[in-house]
Amino acid sequence: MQANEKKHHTLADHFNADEARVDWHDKTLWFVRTKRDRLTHDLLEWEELRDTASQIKSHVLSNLSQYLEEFEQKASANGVVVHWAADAEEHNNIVFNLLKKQGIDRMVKSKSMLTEECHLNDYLAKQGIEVIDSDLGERIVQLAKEMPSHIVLPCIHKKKEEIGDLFHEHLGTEAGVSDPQILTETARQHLRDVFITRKAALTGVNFAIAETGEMVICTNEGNADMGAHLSNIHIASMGIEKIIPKRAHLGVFLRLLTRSATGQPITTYSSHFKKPRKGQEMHVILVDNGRSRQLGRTNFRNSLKCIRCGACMNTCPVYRRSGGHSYHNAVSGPIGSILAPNLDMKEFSDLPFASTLCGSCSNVCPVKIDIHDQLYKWRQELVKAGYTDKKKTVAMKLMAATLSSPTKFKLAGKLGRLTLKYAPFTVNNGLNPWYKGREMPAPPKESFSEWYANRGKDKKI
Amino acid sequence: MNSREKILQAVKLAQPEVLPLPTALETPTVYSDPVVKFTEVAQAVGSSVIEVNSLEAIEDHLKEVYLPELQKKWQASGKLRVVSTSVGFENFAEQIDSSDIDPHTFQDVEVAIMKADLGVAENSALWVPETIIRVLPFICQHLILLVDKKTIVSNMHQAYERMGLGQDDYGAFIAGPSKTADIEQSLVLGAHGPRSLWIYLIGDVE
Repeated sequence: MQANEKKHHTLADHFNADEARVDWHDKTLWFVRTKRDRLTHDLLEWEELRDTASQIKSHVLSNLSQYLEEFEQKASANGVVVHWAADAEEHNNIVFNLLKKQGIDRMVKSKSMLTEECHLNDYLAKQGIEVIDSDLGERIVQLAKEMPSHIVLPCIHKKKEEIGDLFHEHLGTEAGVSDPQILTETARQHLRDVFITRKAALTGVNFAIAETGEMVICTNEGNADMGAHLSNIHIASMGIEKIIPKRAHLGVFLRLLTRSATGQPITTYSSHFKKPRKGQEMHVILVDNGRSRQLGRTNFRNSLKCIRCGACMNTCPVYRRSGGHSYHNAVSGPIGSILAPNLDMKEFSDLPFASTLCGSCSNVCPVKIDIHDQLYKWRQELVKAGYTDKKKTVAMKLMAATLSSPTKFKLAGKLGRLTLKYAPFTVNNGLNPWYKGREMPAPPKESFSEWYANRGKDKKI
Repeated sequence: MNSREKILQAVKLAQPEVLPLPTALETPTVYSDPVVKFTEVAQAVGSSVIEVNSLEAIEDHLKEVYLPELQKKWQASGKLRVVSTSVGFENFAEQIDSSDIDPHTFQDVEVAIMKADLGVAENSALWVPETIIRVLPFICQHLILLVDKKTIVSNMHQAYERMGLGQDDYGAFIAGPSKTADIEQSLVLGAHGPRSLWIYLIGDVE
């Protein structure tokens, strides 16, 4: 794949080829945003909750090494085996070795964006291990051989007819069936069989509590629990930033998470895993994979407060009209655009520019991450580091020179007005990338200076 | 240096000076009648709520209303496997009292009756501690939870205050039947867990 083909603007172009679908995608996500509004406006202390959550997270990030050690100690005492992974490769290796030791070659997995970030499924497939995703949306994109396009609503980009076709091909439903009730029932039967027969289950972690060593996992479907409680070995993968100090802090975060995510007062299940079931092995893998580096970047540290609710995606005018896949990263949308450049500045240099900087993301963020400010700051870092389009840099320099000289500015203004008036085609053409998706304004007859100098000349006294 | 030390050292170097933990919320919303709010929210998320005053009343309701309705609505035929981890339903439910049973053997359970320790009005979540078989409230087709009315608190802060650090090896807040809206945001009850949740709110036992 050529470099440009993988960039946000090109991928967004593909998505925008079907205008009706873009409208539908836009409206569906806005519907989720309005559900969020209804639930949050009901709660008088909403803003106080956001402030509190943000401060708890600031505190955690400032004392993370100690909390990680406390969590390790408590979890170990509970009989949970704690592993540390510096990067994605090490994480994947740990999972593989745990399965190999037990002679297991099939695993069921509930939603974990971290394992998407680590490309665990591909890695295990190469080792001959089959992984089945059990969250309905994730199972659907897995059957379609795609990535989730949204961290909470993995197949929000898919129409039910397309899902019906997938189920017809893979799960044997009748051709043409697209009723969500029937499709969900089919997936229920198919995945129940998976839960009953798999000896290993992998889950993500929403919150890990330092003072008790507990891991809290939130789902609506009950898939994390079905997998974990029927398995001989439960592996939980978590980023090191998921720690919270006290159990009582769950009161704050569980009130914020689902109201922000889907406009529900809480997820159906908020499961607290402390000790393994009798006869079961429970493991947790603490993964860094660039998080300690992001912690050291003062400007971007706060991005680690994210609790993965997806509210910034649902509200984002660019995300809603370009689709999650246009971000070519496991976590898409505004938050993904400030997390991704930390993983690979070059590969994700386009993402901080995929924003209007309108600030809506920061306004809905339950932990008050200054997302749009960080997008703006990443742009500066990326230009400085030389990862942006050189043509734009040249144009910017030319503009800076023009704006800093009154003579050049006046001349440029005059030329610009003449060009737009008599030869608009020289600007409005395929060779000018800036013009793409934009309309030039009608040029004024004269500049402000000209008008000022001429004012009153034709005034009758 | 192993990865544990490498990560801890990198974090130590990167983290800023310690910032203070905030204080608890000043005045989180409390409801004048938490039971009323609990019921309203529970129904909104797809649960059914029945108020009763005795265990006998629960048994009567289960036999006369719940089971016939279940059979009709879900077209369940034949003998339904009903299990209970709560005592007092031996007349029509299989009593589970040993944790040594393979959890997979519960895959054909139609109805499970269990107790919840407390309920939360703002979101209708019920705290269900591990009761003998961890997978039971998930693997059953239909779940029944019994909860004492007096344990309903207004919000999650009060719930955790009451629970403290907890003694349970495992426990879950359960709010409603299992659900998904992954296909075009259409809500479907009964994703992987129970298709329905009935809550018996137990008042003063006469």
